[in-house]
Amino acid sequence: MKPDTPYSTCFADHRPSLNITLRSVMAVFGGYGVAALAAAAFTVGLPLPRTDAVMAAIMLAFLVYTVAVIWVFATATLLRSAAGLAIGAGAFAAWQWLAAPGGAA
Amino acid sequence: MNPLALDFLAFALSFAAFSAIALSTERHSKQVFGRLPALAARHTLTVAGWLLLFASLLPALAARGPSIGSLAWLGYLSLASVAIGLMLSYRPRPLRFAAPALLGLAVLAWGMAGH
Amino acid sequence: MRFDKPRTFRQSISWVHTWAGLLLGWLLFAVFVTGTLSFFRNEITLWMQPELHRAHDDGHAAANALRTLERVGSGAQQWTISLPGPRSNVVNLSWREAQPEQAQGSQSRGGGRQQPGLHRAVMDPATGELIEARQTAGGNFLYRFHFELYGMDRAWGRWIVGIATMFMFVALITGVIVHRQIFRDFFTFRPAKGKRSWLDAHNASGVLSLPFHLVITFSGLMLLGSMLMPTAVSSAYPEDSAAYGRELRGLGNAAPAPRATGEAAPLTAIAPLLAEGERRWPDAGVGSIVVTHPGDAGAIIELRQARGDSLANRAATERLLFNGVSGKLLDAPPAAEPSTVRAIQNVLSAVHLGRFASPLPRWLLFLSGVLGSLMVASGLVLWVVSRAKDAPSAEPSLAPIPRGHRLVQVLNIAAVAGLMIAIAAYFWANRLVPVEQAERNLWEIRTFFSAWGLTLIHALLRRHKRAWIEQLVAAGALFAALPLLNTFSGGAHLGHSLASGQWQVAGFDLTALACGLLLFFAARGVIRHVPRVRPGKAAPAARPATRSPRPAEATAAQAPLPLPLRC
Repeated sequence: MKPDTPYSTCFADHRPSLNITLRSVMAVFGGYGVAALAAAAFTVGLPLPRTDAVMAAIMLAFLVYTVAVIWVFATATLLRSAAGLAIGAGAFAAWQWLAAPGGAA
Repeated sequence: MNPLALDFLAFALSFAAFSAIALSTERHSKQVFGRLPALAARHTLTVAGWLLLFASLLPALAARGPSIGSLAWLGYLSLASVAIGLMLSYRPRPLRFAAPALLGLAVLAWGMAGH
Repeated sequence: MRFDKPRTFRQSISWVHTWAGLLLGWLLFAVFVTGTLSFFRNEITLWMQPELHRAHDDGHAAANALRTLERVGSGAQQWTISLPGPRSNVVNLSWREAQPEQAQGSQSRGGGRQQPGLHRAVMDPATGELIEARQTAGGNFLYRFHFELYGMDRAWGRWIVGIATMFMFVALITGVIVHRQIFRDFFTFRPAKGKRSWLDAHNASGVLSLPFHLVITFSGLMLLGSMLMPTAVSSAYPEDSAAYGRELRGLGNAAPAPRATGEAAPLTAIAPLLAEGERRWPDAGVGSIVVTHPGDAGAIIELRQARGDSLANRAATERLLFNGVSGKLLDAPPAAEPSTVRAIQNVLSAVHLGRFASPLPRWLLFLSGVLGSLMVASGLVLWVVSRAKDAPSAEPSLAPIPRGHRLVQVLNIAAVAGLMIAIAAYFWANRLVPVEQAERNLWEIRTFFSAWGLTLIHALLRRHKRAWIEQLVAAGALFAALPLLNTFSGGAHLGHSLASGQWQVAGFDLTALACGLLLFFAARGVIRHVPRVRPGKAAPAARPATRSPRPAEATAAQAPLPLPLRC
């Protein structure tokens, strides 16, 4: 990432303490949300017996959480942080919806 | 066979491995030898260090099986590197003799335990 | 670091590492230390019951136990005998009386599951006498504290520790990213170089047992996983989340309970059965004996291997079933092979819970835990050191410390040195609170928290450096004197425990002594510490050489090394 690349920013990007607060909230709660959706998706999406799938999903979800936290703080702008979380959340939610027994449960 | 002899051998091998790796670096070889060894010698030390590192896994596995053995191996790696780190910080010179002496002792103990 | 300004990836990650580590670092240190001690919780409990120190095994433990159970537990449905081994020098007996079917078990305050009709006792292996040991919270308190804290709802405590563990995991991963060069400067520790030394110490304690830190943190998350990530369970078991736990436990122990015949018959001699067990398991040996329907013609004697050989099945133990009257070997149900995911989960949890046969891997884990505690503590100190002014604090009134820094300083002292005092005080309370005191175990715990609270007040009242020195010296003295306390309050002293090979008690005493000496060593380091002066940055008048020594630094003036190098 080149630090001088122009990105579209919003007003919160330019206020240091608001920027950090928003990123922290996104990392802790948004990251957890993505991880929780990931856990649900892995549980139904992985081709494993039920108990094994739950165990694997829990372990993988913590890794997803870690990646999400790093993403939120590493991106140049708040918008990109939020967009990354939203894409992750959307992808996992869609996977779970498709993989759940009955298709649209 | 007594697993303690194999445990000791695993520790001595990992100690030797980390000694070799440490001595292959510029900073630590100067600390220990007082001068910089030839580049070729330092390369040899690097290769020997990595080989010894993998070799140290074998007695650990032989002593305690795959799961506990590899866990114990990680423990020896920590213990050996802490010992070497402390020696390099406070008493670097004896590191020249420590690894060969320890390794010799371990092989001796292993040989005696085997018969 | 500002997030509104352009910055590199490393800078962002470094910020995450600093704050994820600091924010719950004090709690993490407590969790790491008490968790490390929990590797030896049985040994700690034994030390805390000096009434048991005199007991020793003369090889007749099993026969004595059966004789004792015939006396105290006749008519019981099941007897369980845990034989002495490397982690215990006594026999733990329990017997269960016949109960109505639906009686399951109820949670009780203060740890453990209280089951109706279940009796427990401790027996001297050589004499067969039951020993009345003092009431103590033992190593169990430290064990429980390390994952569910104390004085709050268990679920709350587990959530708090779970969140702290997640912070730890993020701090570990970001730490590896930030300090990529740690793998190059593997052994580099430069003592007496101020901030540089703390950074070296933090890196070294982190990287030298990095696999342990990753495994212990990740497995900690995993052990609390079904609570922290409930969506995983609820999406697989939409109708009933408790079914997950039942399905997990249901694997592998589906043997139907044998029925009693109602006909009286004496039990067979135990010695040949034990010999068979020792023959099958030459390394681990027999760990426990379970007798179902003793005194009945349908009695079953089950021998369990002392410890498993593989962590992949969670160190599950093999079993041998015998007909309790004829002594004939029965067919045992074969153990199921765990699946790959299950095996990974089992290995991780077995490592975290320290389920091994031999003491050696346990000690290696303990030492790794010590390194982990040092990593957290040095990280906390590093936060303060790297924000300290470059100028020496010879005139502290001229440059007031920011309130936030002072808060971190105080919390560091109470969380690191204060916790050591609290733990030592807990052991002292174990011997000084009268044996007949009601709620004795609670008084031990109250001492722990009172001592900890006092260290916080002390850290608030004293100057930063003085507070560190005083608390480290106090903790060192309390720990180093524990072997003496043990000697004079009825325990087996080192001379006795070493001579008779009582490693559980001797190990505690020696570890306490070593811990005390290390704390003294740390105190000496703080006493000799003189704030480092960077040439060119500080005013020449503030150089240590021209400064009049303050009382705390008078000792440093006698140090053999030139002053600017001491830090």
